[in-house]
Amino acid sequence: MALGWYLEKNSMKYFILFFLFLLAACHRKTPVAAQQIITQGDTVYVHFILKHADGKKFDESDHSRHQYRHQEIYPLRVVAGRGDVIKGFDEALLSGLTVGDTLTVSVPPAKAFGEKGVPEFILSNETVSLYIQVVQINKCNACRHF
Amino acid sequence: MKSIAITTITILNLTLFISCNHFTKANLHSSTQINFDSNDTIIHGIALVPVAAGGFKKGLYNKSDTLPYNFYIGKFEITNLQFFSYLKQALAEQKIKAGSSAFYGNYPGDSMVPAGQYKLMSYNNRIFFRNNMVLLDSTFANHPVVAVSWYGAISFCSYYGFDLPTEREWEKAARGQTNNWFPWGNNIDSSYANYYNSNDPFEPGTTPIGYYNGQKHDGFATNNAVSPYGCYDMAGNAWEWTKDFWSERVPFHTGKGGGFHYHTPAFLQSYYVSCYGPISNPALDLNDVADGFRVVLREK
Repeated sequence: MALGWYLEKNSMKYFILFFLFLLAACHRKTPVAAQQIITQGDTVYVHFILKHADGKKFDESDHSRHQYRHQEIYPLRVVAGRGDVIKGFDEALLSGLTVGDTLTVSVPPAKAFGEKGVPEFILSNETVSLYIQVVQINKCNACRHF
Repeated sequence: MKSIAITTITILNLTLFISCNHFTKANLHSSTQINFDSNDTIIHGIALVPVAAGGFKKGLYNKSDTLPYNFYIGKFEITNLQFFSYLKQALAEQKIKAGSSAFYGNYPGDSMVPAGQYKLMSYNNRIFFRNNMVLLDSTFANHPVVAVSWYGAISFCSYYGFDLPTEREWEKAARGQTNNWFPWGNNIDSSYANYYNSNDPFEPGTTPIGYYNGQKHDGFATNNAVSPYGCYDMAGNAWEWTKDFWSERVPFHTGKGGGFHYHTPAFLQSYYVSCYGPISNPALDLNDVADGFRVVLREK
C-alpha cells in the first residue's frame, strides 16, 4: 500500500533513490565486518614476510613456491592467539585485521626472539620486521584448539 | 629376512659400542631408552616402519594423492650415534675427508648440481674431529644428528643403501589419510614436540629421538606424538631434508617438519615445506644447526 502510494506520488527516479537508500541501510546493519575480524581461536591463513633489522628477508610464506615451482600458493595456517607464531605475530593478527588486510609491524625482541635471539640466525635483542596479508579467516566455533 | 637384519644390526651395534672407547655406561643406558619395537624392521641399526602403497592427503588443502609403491621410512630421525658410526667407517675407507672444520665428501652430481666435493657436516659440540679421530659426545648419542648438509644426508643414505624421502613420501608417512595438521592431530603444545621456546628439559637443543611418546621423563609429561604409520619427531626436533629440489630451476633441497631452534608450532605442520635457497641464496652445502634427516627404503 505504501509502495503504491509512493509510486503514485513520486516519479520513478525517487523510487530508485529510495530503494538504494534501503539497500545501504540494510548493508550497514549487516554485521559482516564484525564477524570477519580475527579473534582468538580463529584459524587464519596468512602470507607473511619476516625481515632482519637490516632489511634482509629471512623467512616468508610460500609466495616464492608459486613463482618457482608453479604450484599452489600456500599461506601459513595459524590458530590466532594460540602461540603458533611469535608473540608479536599473534598480536598483529589480533589487532582488528580482516580478510584482504595487510600490515607491516616492527616486532621488538621481547615479542620476537628475545634477548638470546637464535644462534646463527637471529641476533640477540634483534627487532624484526613482519609483513602479513590475511587471506582467509575460519571463525572459531567450538574453539577446540584451546 | 627380518631376523637376519636384526642379527646383523645386533652385531653392528656391538662392534660399534666396543670400538667407541669413550662411550660411558650412561650412554649405553640412554641408548637402551630408544623406543625400538619388536615389530620394527631394523636395518643397519635403523628402525624402519612400513608404509603401504596407496592414497594419502597432501598439502594445506588436504588434496588426495597416491603413491603406487610400498616403502619403509625411518621410525626416528637419524641419531648422532648412527651418523658418527657412518663417519668413522667412511673415513676409514677413505670415502670422505676430515677438513679443518668440517667433513667433506664427493657428490657425483645431478641434473642441477655439478659433481664435486661438498661439505657433509661442520664439526660441532656433539660430533667433531680431533687428534685424527672422530669423536662423539655420548650425552647426545640418541639425539638426532643436526648441522648436516643435504650432501651429508644423501651421503649417509647412499653408504647404507637408503635414500632420502621425497616430500610426498614424507607427508604420507606423517599424516596418511588424515586431514591432521600435525602427525597426531590438530592440537599442539610443549607436550607434543620440540620447537622454539617449547620449554622442554633440553631447551634450546634437540630432545632424544622418540621423546614425545606419551610417557613422563623426569617429571616432564609428553603426549604420544606418533604419526599414523608409527613415526616419531615428524614435527619439530631436527628439521628434515627431503630428496626434492625446490624447483627445476632452484638447486636447493626442501625440508619438512620444522626444527627445534627457530620454528614455532605453525611451521611444524605436516603440509609446510621450507627451503633456504630462494630467500637467501646460501652455499649449496649449507648446514644449519637444526638440519637432520630420516631415511627411506623403497620396494624394488
